[in-house]
Amino acid sequence: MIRFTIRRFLSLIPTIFIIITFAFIIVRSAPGGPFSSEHNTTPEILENLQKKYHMDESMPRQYVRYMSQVVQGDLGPSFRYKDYTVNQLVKQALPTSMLLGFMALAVAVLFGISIGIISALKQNTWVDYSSMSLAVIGISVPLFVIGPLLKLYLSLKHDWLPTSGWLGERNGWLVLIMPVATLCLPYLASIARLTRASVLDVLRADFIRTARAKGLSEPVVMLKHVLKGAMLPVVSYLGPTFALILTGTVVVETIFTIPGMGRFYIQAAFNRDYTLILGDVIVLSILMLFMNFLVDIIYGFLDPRISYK
Amino acid sequence: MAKPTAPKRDSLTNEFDQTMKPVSLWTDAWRRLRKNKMAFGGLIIIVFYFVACLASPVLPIYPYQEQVVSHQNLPPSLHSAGKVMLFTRTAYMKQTMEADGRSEFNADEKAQLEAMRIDAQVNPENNRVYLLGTDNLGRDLLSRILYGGRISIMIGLTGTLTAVFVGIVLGSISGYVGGRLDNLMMRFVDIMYSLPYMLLVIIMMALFGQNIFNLFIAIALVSWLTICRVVRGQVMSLQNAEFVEAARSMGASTGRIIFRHLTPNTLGVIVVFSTLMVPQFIMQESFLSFLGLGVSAPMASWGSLVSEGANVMELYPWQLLAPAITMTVFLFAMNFLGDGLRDALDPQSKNKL
Repeated sequence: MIRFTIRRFLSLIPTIFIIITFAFIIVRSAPGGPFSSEHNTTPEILENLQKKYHMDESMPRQYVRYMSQVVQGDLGPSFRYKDYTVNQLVKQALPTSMLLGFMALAVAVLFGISIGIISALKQNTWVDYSSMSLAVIGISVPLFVIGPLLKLYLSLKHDWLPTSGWLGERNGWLVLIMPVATLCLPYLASIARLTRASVLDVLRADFIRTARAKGLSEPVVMLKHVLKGAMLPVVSYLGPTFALILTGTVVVETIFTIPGMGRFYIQAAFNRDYTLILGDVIVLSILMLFMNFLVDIIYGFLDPRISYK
Repeated sequence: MAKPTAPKRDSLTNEFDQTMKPVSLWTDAWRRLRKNKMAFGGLIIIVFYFVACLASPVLPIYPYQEQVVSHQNLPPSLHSAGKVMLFTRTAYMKQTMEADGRSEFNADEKAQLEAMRIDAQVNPENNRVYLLGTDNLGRDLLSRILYGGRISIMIGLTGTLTAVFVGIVLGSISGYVGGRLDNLMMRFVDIMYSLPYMLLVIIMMALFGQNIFNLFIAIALVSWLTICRVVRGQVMSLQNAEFVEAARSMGASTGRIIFRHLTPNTLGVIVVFSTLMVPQFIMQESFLSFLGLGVSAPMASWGSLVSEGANVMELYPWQLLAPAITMTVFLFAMNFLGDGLRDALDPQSKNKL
C-alpha cells in the first residue's frame, strides 16, 4: 500500500508536464493571438509587444523559457491584465473560488448523501418519489435560471439577502448564502441520486445479510457497512468534481459577480491570454491529479476488497 | 403419478416437467420493464417526444424561423393572435388609464383599439394560433421547441451513449486489468480533464468547420471521463467477488468476465449516472452554440431557448417556462425509464417478478 502510494504519487509529476506541454501546443495553435484586436496596431508597436513577451523567439525556445519559469513557480505576466502577473491573478481569485466551491460541495455532500440514504431505505414510498423528483428538477433546471430567480425573490422583492458581491468590508457572511445555495443544487441532486442507487445495490449484498445475521444493530449496519460500501461511486464522482468546482465556476460567479477564477476561463480563452490560460490549466491539473490520487487512496479504506498490486 | 424424468441437458423442461423457454438477458429485461408502470410510462413519453420531434416538418405548425413582426412576445393562448394582441393591448391601456386616474379611455386610445379590432378581422395573419406563445421576434414557440427538441434529444442521447459506451469499456478494462495499464489510462483521463476545453473547441472549429457532427465530437470528447472513473472504481471493488472467481475458475476469458459478469453488476450506478448526464449535454450544447460551434440562428435547441427565455423571465415568463417544462418532463421520463432499466437489467433480481 505504501509502495503503491509513493509510486502513484511520483507518476503525477510527469503527468503534469505532459499536461502543460499539450496545453502549450493547444494554446499556441488556436487561431488568432493576444495582440490581434479590432483596431489595427502599427507593425512597430506589434513588434515591440512581441519582443516584450518573447513572442519573437522560436516556438521551442518559448516553450523551454516558459517551462523553466514554471518550474521555479513563476507563471509569467498576463497578456491582457497589464501589469499583473498570472501568479498575482491566481492568488487573488483562487481563494474566493475555493471557498465558494468548498462550501457548496460540503452542503451538497451532507444533504445529498442523507437524502440518498433516506430515499433508498424508503424505496418506492412517497418520500422516495418526492425527493427523487426534486432531484431531477435540481439537475434539469440550469443554474442561470435558479440564480436570477433566487436573486429576484430573496433580494429584490424581499431584501433579505444582498444581491451580489463577495465577503468584504461592506458584506457579511449573508452574501455567501445565495451563491452557495445555487451552486450546490445540481451537485446535491446528483449525489442524492448516486447515493440512492448505490445504497440499493449494497443493501442486497451478502455481507449486509451477514452483518444483520450476526446481530449488529441497525445503525451500525447502516453506518459501518452500507454507507461505507455505498460511498464508492460517490467518491469516484466527487474526485474530479471537487477539482473542477474549487477552481471556479463561470455561471455562478458571473450571476453573483464574485471575483473568482471562473471569469478567467472564458475571458482568457477569447483574449488568447496565453499565460493566464496555462496558469488556469496548471492550477486545475494539480488539483485534479491530487483529487484523483486521493480518491484512489480512499478506495482502499472504503472497500477492503480493493487491493493495489 | 407421472414417472420422474431424468433432468435434461438442453433444459427445455425443468424438474417439474414443465417446458421452459430459454430467456436471454434482454427479453427478460423487457418483460420486467413492461411490468414497471413508472418506467413504461417514461418510455411512452420518450417515444412521444421522438415522434413529435421527428415529425415536426409534417406537423401542422408554423415554420420555426418564420417571423411575424407584429406578433412579438405574445402569451400562450388558444385564441387567435389578433384577439390576444387586442386583449394584451387593452389590459395595458387600462393600466395606464388607472395610473393616470382616468375612468375612461381617451379618444386616441379608443381609435387605436378600434384599428386593432378591424385589423384582427381583416388581416389573415392574425388568425394564427400560438399555443405556447411567441418569442421576441414573433416566432412560434411551439414550433421552435419541437424543432429544438430534434437537436437537443439527439445531443443528449448521442452524448450519453458515447459516454456510457466509452466509459464502460475503458473504465472496466482499466479497473480489471489494473497495474501499469490502469495507471496509464487514468493519467490519460487526468490529462483530458485538465486541458483547456474551450480552446480545444475553438481549434476544432477552425480546423474542421462548424457543423452538427463536430458539435457531437466536441461534446463526446470529454463526456466519458467521470463515468469512466466511476465504472473503474466499481469494477475494482467487484473484481475479487465470488462470482468473478467462479467465472475465472471455469475458464472464462477476460473479455467475458468484464462484459458479462462485471458490467451488468455496475449497471445500477451507470444508468443513474447516464440519466444525470443528459441535461448537462443539452445545456453544454447551448453553451457551445453560443460560442459559435454547433447550431446557429434561426435554428433553436432547448438549451438556447431556455437561456434566451431566462433573460426575459420577468416580462415574458412563458418564453422560459415552455421550453424548461418541456425539457424537464423529458428528463423526468428519462429518469424513470433509467430506474426501470436498472431494475430490469439487475442480475440480482433475475428470478423475481
